[in-house]
Amino acid sequence: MNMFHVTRLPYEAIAEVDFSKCTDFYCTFQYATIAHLPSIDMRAATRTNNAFSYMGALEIIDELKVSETTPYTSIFGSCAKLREVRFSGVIAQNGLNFKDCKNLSRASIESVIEHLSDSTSGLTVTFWRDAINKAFESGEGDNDGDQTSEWGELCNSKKNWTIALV
Amino acid sequence: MERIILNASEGKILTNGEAYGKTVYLGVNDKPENWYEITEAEYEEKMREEEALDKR
Repeated sequence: MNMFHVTRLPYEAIAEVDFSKCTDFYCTFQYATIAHLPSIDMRAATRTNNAFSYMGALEIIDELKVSETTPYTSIFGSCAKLREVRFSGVIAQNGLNFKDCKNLSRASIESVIEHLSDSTSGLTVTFWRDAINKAFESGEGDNDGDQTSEWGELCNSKKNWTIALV
Repeated sequence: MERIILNASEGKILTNGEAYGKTVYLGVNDKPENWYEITEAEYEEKMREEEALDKR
């Protein structure tokens, strides 16, 4: 826990670290000025509060390995530059919130939704509406993504989840 | 079954007490009565409170 917390060294990326047995990701990377994270194994996590929050330079997470028990409390708060993240495993806990991720790519949004559990109910995932509008826009500059059939079909692929756009 | 889509009124944000949205695509087991509107000012205040907690 707190491993890279407030890392202000001018790292653009770090080497892969074995987090497979790590249960506590509390503030692990909070405030770190790292732009590119490798695969992070959060499958054993029982606490993830602020794991990546306030990483103002973070643009890419190669892979987030998660399990049905991985929690998501405020993990991406103020990650305004995050655009690429790929999930593996099953997202089955509440609170996954990308409201501050204003540049999230279409592939990243699709990765999130594709990995939402098919069997849970009563859970919500949140995105920044303008990120959806840009990622799924029907033509360059149309900014109408949430009105497109592609977005509608993606949403409807996980009808057991509530999806909030803020 | 079609999804129910809730849209917040002008100047308002929808919340269920935990999540927030201007547009909310309800899950099949979620209900419109679980969501209610707050003002954008109330939302911003809530976000400031959460941010303060995050920074502790």
